[in-house]
Amino acid sequence: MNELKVTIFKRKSNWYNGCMRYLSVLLGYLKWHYGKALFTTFALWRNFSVFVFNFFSIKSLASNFFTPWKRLAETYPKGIHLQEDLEIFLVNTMMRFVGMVLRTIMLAIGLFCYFIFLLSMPFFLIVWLLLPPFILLLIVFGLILIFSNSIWK
Amino acid sequence: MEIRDYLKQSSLYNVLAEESLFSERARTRIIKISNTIIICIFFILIVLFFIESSAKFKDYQNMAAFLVPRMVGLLFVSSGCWIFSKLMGFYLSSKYYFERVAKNNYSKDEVYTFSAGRILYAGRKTDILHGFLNSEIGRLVFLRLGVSERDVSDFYDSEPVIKEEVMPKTEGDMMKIEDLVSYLYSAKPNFVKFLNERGISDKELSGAVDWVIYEIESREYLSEWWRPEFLSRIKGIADDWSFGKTFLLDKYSRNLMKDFEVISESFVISNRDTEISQIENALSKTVGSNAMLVGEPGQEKIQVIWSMCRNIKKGNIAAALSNKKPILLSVSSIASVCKDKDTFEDQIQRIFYEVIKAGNIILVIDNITQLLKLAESLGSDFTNIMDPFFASSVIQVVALANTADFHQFIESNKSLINRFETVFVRPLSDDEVARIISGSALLSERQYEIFYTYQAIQELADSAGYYFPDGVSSDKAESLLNEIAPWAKRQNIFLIDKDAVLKFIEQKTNIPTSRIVSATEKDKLLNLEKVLGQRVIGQDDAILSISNALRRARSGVRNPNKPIGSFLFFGPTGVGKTETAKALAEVFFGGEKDMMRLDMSEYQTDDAMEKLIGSFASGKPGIFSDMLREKQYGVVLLDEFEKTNKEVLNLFLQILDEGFFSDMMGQKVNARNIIFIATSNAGAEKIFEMVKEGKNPKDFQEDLISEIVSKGLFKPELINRFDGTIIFKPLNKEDLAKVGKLMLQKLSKRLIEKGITLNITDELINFVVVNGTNDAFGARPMNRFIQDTIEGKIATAMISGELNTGNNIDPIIENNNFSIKVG
Repeated sequence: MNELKVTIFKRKSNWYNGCMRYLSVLLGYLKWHYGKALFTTFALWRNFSVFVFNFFSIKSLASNFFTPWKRLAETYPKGIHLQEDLEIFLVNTMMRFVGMVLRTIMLAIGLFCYFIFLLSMPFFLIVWLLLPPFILLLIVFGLILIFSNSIWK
Repeated sequence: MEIRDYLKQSSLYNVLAEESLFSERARTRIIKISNTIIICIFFILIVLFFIESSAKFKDYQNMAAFLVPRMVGLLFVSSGCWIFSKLMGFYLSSKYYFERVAKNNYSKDEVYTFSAGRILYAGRKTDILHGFLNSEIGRLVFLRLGVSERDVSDFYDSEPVIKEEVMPKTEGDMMKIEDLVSYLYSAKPNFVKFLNERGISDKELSGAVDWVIYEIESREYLSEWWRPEFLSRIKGIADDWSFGKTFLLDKYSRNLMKDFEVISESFVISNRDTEISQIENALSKTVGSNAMLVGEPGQEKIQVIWSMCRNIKKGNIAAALSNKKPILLSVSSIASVCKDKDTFEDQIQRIFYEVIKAGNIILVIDNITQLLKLAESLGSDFTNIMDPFFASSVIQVVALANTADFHQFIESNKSLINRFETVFVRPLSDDEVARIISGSALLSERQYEIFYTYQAIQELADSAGYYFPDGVSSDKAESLLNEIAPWAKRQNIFLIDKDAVLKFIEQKTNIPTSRIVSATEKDKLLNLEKVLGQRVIGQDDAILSISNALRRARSGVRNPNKPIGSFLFFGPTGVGKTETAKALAEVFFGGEKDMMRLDMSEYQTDDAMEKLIGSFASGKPGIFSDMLREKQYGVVLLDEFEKTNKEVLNLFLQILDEGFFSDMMGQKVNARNIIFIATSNAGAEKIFEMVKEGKNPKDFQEDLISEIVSKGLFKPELINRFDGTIIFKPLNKEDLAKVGKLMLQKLSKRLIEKGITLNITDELINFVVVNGTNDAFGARPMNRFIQDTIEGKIATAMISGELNTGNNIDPIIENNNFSIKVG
């Protein structure tokens, strides 16, 4: 009789222990999700923002905003030749202008994307924060749908 | 200490426990199943909505209305499971990956590595061996060793379980998986037996373990594509719209710090600490801080620089190099732009000024000899112009040069070489080469959907050095790897093992690799006396010595830097020396046609070397070098070896030692798949005398050789290079009778093909021996005699119609005359 009791107790405690182990992992997970992982998301977000910034060459475009297009400039000849100097000046100004226009377009696209990305951060943050309850909701709601008759009628 | 207690010592224990609840295998299974369900339901839902909306399927609409919510529910549940498993994976890997697995940065107080912990945990209830066999790493290791999962699981079941195994002691502070495996190899005889039965050595086992760990680590590393080092590889779209400050330098160079080999440290294996520290020392000097890196043509030199870059990135470098960026200057692109002296000098000086101005650049010149030649061709005095730069304290230069070029052009240029510290790139061993190409093999596997076993990789690395003696072995192995993958695809081979590699090499080089090195060689070597004895008569002692020497030379690990075997045969003419060579060709290479013969008496004059290995002046190729290029394997018979000149003997000194020689053009010729047999008549009289006195060749061998050496015919070091010096004794009457019988049997065999039978009587044999042999030439004239006398008579009879198909020939010997009687 005693032996039986012990076995039942053992079985019960094994089952109980197992449950507790899973529960403790889940609790550990939640701690990570709202702690360390949250910071990692920030780091990731920083990586990506640097990437977007570099991908559109925003820094290089801004710092070279007035340089001629692909450095296609002509050098002035030595001495003073009024007409030639004027022609070269016009050509160089044109090249600078072309460069400026193209850079402006590129900068506009780049900055637009960059800001979109910056603005997306809060959105992702919210998604991340809501993910654990969302999973629970998905599974519970899914199960309800599977086993009930009336919900969709 | 028991394993259970040992495991609990580490903080990793909790992670291991958590991981065992949500194991990787279970998670990937859930993800796979959810994926399939989600996709299926998606299509089912489309169909169901179509049914609901269309009037055609009125009868089915009730069913659809019943199914739709359930399908949506299933979709929700599986999506939930999918997300959960993914997140759980992130969570668990965040616990061990970032700090521990991929970078191998374990904290000092850690007791075991995570991978070792996994094995111990898996074997916690049983023992280490079962843990290893049962673990994911163990499974992968056996896959890499080409052992089937079934064999492993059979072995797993057959091994008794140890209840309480005591933890083995480690050599280092931390228990690594390598330690566990070497413990298993030393302490579990059944495990060793299991491996040995499959031809796996401990070296291969530990190599495969290293490879598997490397594979896991690099896979984990590459899976994190969002790391800044990966993102920064993507080039900005408008980066080249406006050049930066080192505009000229950028045009001719690239930043090595941004090379993939530097950024993704996990895909590069190298062992270049010596070279790097030499470069560090050179570049740390206050004045003239330059280094010249000299090595074989190929990627090895730049690989050293890459390793240095990785050290710079990690901050593990001398102060003079920290935070510097090595820039590789491409001499070819300078050459393509600079067409005259002025542009060249202008550009090169401006580049150097830019480097000085930037202040954080180590200038790496990719081919300094090419730059010197370019300067020379343009008429510019490069050394003098650049000397102030090289001598200054404000610039650090690493120049790369090929070994041959270095000796030819740079070593003599004293004013240049004084400004540089020379660093030689050490050639890598086969094991190191195998380690390097094992990384590339993973890429090739992904690209071609094939699988390499570890033995295949090892064989590729070995073969690169063995069958292709020219060039850098890591480069050659790399190119072999690049060739074998598409080849295997064409042959429908998906598992590339050692045999597949050998087959590939055989097709590529025409060297019968399988015939030289396969398992059948074992049988050949064991039965060598028997096989040779059937063809070579009366030389049992010689045959035994040859067989022993060959077995000695070929036992254990094959020395890849020597010919298969080499012998020096002494003895009078006509005693079976050539016949032995022919027999060896047949045994080892499958036919007499694989015996190449050089009559060394033709190479006595001063131009002997030119004849053999070619002439640079006339551009004529050499007979010997051509012979070995056409056929890289076989038996080479060097007849009358003592008659050739000293120079040629010295050439063979090198060949017997290193297994290759260079022809007149400086190209290496491979002689590593050759059996060399040199014959000599030197000392033939002495052999005659001694044998007449009834002495055994073994007893006077030493005397004979010292006599030959004292005569100055061969140098002792040459004789010692041969695997064996064999003395062939003159044949006695009985032996000659056997030879005669053998030759007559050959004739009879030919006649039988024509339907004619020759009765070989003792009388006939005696007749042949008496007339067809003499003391000076042994059995050599016998063949001729048989041809002239016996074959001649038979041929006459056949032509005259006397002898026809189906007839018998009875020989009649009268008064030492031969005639035939047709029966």
